[in-house]
Amino acid sequence: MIAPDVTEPDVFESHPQTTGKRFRLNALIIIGSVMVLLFIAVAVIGKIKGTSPLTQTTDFNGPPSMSHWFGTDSLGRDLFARSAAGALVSLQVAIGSVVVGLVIGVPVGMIAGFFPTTWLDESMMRVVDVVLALPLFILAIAVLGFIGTGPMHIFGFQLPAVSSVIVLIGIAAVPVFARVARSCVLVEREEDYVDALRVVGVSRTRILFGDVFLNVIPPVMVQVTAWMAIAVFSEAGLSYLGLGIQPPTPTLGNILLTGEGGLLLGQWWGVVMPGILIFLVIAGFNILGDGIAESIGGSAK
Amino acid sequence: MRTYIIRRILGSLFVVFAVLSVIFVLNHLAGSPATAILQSDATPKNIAAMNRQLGLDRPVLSQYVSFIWHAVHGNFGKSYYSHGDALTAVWQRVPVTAELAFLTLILSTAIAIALASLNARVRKGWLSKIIDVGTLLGLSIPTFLSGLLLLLLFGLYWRGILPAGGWVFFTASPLGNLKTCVLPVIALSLPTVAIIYRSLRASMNDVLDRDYVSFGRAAGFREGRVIRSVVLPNAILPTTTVIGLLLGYLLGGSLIIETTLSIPGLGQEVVNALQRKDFPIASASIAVIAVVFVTINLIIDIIYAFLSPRIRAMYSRKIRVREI
Repeated sequence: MIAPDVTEPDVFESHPQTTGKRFRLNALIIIGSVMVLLFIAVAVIGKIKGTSPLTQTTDFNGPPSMSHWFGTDSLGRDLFARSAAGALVSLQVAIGSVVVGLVIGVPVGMIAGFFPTTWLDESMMRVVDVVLALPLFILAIAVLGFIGTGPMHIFGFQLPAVSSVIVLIGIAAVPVFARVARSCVLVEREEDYVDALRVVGVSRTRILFGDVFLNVIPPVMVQVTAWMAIAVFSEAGLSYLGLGIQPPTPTLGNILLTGEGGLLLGQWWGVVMPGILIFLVIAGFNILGDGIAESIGGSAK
Repeated sequence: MRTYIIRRILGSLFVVFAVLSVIFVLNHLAGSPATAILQSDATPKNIAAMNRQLGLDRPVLSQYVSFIWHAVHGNFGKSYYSHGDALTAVWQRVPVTAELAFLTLILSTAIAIALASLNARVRKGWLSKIIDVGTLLGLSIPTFLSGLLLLLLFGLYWRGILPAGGWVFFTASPLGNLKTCVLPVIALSLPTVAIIYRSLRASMNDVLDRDYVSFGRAAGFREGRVIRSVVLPNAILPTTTVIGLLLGYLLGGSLIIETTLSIPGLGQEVVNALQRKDFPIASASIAVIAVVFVTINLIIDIIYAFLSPRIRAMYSRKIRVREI
C-alpha cells in the first residue's frame, strides 16, 4: 500500500482509510482543550466547595478575597459559587443544544446527501435555506421574549427552564449540522470505497451509517466546537438581556446583569470575574475548532 | 441571469412571509394581551370586550390572514404604552442602528484588509500567528462583555475622554455624534474584523498560489505591490459573501450594545419592547429587522452574481445551481 500523502491534505480528496491516522494533535487543540477544561474545572470546584450560590451574607459588594475568590454581589452572595453554578448552566446548554442539533441534523443531512436531487434532499435544503436566511439570535430573543422561559411541559413531564433555552438553541443548530453532513456525504458517496462495499453486497444503510459516517465525523466536529461557543454566547446574551434563564437560577449572563449595577461604583469584579470565565470558554471552543480544522486539513469557517 | 434574480427575489419574499408567520405564531402563543393593555381595569368583562376589539375571538385562521394582510400594509397595531403606531415608532429608531452598522462595517473592513495584507506578506511567520490568534480572541469576546468593559474603562477609570453611553444625534452635533459612536463601534468591530479577516485570509492564501501571482513577482513587482494590486483584488470577491453573516452579527450585537450603552436604536427598542411585553412594537421591530436583513442579503447576492462568472455561466446555460 502506498503511504498516504500527508503534505497536502485536502478534504475533497480525502482517503477514508487514512482519516483516522491523519488526525494529529497540534498546539491549538491542546491550548483550546486546556481552556475548556479550566472552565469545566471551575464548575466542578464550585460544586465540590459546596457554597450555595443563593446564600446571602452581610458581606455586600466585597472585593475578591481568600474567603470569596471572586468577591460578593450586592446581596452578599459569593460570586465564585454563582459563577461556577452559571458555568454549569453554560455547559448544559452547550452540550444539550449540540446534542439536539446532532441527533436531528446529522442523520437528515446524511440521508439527503446520499440521495441528492430527490424530493427529500430538495425539501430539506429549502427548509435549511429559509432558516439560515434569518438572523437567529434575534429570533431566539423573539421566541423567548414572547413566550418567556418558564418550565417546559412536554407529554406531562415538567422540564426545568434551562431546557427551553437548550431546545431553542439546539433547533437553530439543526440546519448548520445538516448542511455540513450533507456536503460531506455528497463528496464521500463518489468515493471508490462506497462502490466497492456495494459490489460486495453491503446494504446502502450500512454503508451510509457505517463507513461514510466515520468520515463525516471530523468536519462535523469542527462545527460542534463552533456551535458550543455560539451556544454559550447566546445563552449568556439572552440572560444578560433579561430574556433567558431567569434569576434566582444563576447563569453567567444574569450574573453580569447584576454586576452591571455596581460597575460604575468601582465594583469591577461583578463583571470582570464572570466575564473572564465566559471569554475563557468561548475562546477555548473557538481555538479548539481551529485546531481540529487545521488537523483534518479543512479550512476553518 | 434573470432567472437567478427572479428566483432570489421570490426566495426572499418567502423568507419575509415565513418571518411574519413566525411572529403571528409567537403572538398567538403569548396569549391575549388584554390584561397588559387594561392593567388596573382588567375585569373579566373588559377583557372580553378588549379581546373582541382586538379580534382575538375570531377563528385562528382568520386572525392569521388578517395579521399578514395588516403586516404587509405596515400595520402592526399600536404600542400598549405610548399608544402610537408601532411601525412608525420602530422606523424612527432605524437610522441610529444603521449608522452604527455602517461605521462598523467600514472600520472593520479597513482593519481586516490591512491585517490580511500583512498576513500575506509574512505568511507562516510568527507575526501571522499573532494576527491569527488576536483576531480569534476578538471573535471570542461577546459584545455584552466588551461593552461592559468599555463602560468600566471610559465611564469610571478614564472618565471624560469619551462619552460612555448615551447618544447625540448627528443633526444636534456632528462631532458629538461621532464621539458617541466610538465605543459601540469598537465593541461591534471586534468580532466583525475577525470574520472579514478570516474569510479574506482564506481566499488570499488561495490566490497566492496562483501562477499569475508568481508571474507578477517574476515581472519584478515588489511583494507589497503584488499583494495590493494582484492578490487583494482577486481575493476580495468571495469575501463579499460573509457580509450576510456579518449583518447577523451586527444586528444581534446592536441589540446588546445599545442596551448596555443606552443608545436609542432598533436593538434597544426590541429588547425594551420584549421586556415590557409590548407586543406590537416587538412584532414591528422584528419584522423590520428581518426585512432589512433579507433585502441586504438579496442585494449582495445579486451584485455577487453579476460579478461572479460562475453563477452567471450556470444560469446562462440553464444549468441548475446546486450548492456543494
